[in-house]
Amino acid sequence: MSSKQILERKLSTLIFKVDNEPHIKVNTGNCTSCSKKQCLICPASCYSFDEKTQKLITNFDGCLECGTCRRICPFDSINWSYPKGGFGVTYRLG
Amino acid sequence: MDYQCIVVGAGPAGISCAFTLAEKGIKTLLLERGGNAGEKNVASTVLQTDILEQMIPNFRDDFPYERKINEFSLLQLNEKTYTRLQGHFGSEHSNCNLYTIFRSKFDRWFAQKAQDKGADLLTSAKVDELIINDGIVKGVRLAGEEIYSNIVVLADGIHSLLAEKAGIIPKMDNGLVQLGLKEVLELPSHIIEDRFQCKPLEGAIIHGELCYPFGDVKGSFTMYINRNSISLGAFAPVETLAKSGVKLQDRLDMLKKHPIMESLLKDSKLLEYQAHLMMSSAGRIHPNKTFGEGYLLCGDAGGFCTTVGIGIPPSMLSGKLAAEAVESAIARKDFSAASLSEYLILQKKTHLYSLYKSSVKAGRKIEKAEENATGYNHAINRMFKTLFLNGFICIEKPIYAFFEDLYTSILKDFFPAILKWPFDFYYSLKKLYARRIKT
Repeated sequence: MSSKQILERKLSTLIFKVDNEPHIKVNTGNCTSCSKKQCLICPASCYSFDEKTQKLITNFDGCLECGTCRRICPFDSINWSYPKGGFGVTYRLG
Repeated sequence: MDYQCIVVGAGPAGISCAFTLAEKGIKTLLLERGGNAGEKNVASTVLQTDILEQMIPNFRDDFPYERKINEFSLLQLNEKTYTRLQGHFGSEHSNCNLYTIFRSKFDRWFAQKAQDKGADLLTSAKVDELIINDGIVKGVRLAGEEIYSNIVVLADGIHSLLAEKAGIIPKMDNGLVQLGLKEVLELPSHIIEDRFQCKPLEGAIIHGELCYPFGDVKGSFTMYINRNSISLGAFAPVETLAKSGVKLQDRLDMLKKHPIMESLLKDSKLLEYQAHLMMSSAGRIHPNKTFGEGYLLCGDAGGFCTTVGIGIPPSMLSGKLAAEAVESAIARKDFSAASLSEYLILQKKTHLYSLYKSSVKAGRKIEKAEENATGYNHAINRMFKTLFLNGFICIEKPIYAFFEDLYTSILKDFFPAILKWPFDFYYSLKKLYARRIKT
């Protein structure tokens, strides 16, 4: 299994109630010049970087709401909040 | 006034606060952004129940636990080897005070207890901001509605966006924050009891501190035994992960491939994957900043929940004390910071304050141990191997030198730090809990 498939398998154990709008907004102005791209360590791989287009790609449908990204972006580009009440991830065990 | 007190966040601290307030007859609203209490929360999870017992003396009647914990093991891994130290403490259980739990079940059970006492619980309710007039907190705003109260208790977790937004707390120091990932792995109970050598409803908590495959990112792992599953957790400082670009989830996968882990977890099925941040030690919020004009901070939001302080019980105690401070303030009809400063006095009376000081110290000692953790783990394994090969009858000089080495580096330095029991810290914990820790 590829690491992407392994992660998808892990995320499939959770329930996500996805809102119309993502709960995290990123100002991508500095992403191209960012050397480390620390956000890529996201445990749900919500962030990826397309080398060809040099663009940051985000998808917060599978966000685990840990907040790692808001702590480590060196440019403070991430406008982070929890999803609306009742939305987002549900941990059945926790 | 809609309510006398609003508590934001139905985690252990928030529920403890709401429970205690309701018990005192104070009109309380408990707000939770998740669909149910507990469904947004993650922990290892082991619960020391002395503080819970102070609030609910007969909690054992219907408390939803997984196993009673009577064994603690250190499982220090290297790439191909490992060293295991196991301590079993007997099967006397009438007053067991250490259990593995699931947050979804425990938080929900505990929130129901608060409702039974008379607290109002509103779920799927995310607070957008505090209502602050003339520098005084007057209530909360959520989904376009305003709810007013005399006092707001913030128990909204490690990020406490509300406190940060209102300028009440400083931005988090990344050096203090760890990312925790967890997998809950299903195994039939009889297989668990066979592999981990425990009786039904008994179990172990197993730690691998600063060892492979997390040594280079200064991380550790935990393995906690549930009835029909194992909670396998990995955690590492966010700072070291960010600097190295290491994905903690990849290291968790590597952990499961270690020979001893493969045999312990063989044929297990993944039930749930989780991620959460946690404070490793105190230091972000000084106790004298946990109260202000019309508000109090408790739990993770107030810096009370740390891995060195074993998280949940101090959080619960902070919630209970917050309720006591609220009760006094309401009696005085004075909701100012000066009136709510009683919260700090209560923290000092119950040694929650000295726990803060000693957890800051413990954090620094762990930093020292982190620097050469990989070396220590190999040394521990070599020590066992040498003892095994040379036996105890050999009294040549190399053995003396070896033990001297062992004492100065490993026992004096590494073990106290990695077991998070520096002696002054141990005494603070001892004072914190109602009952003496049995030796």
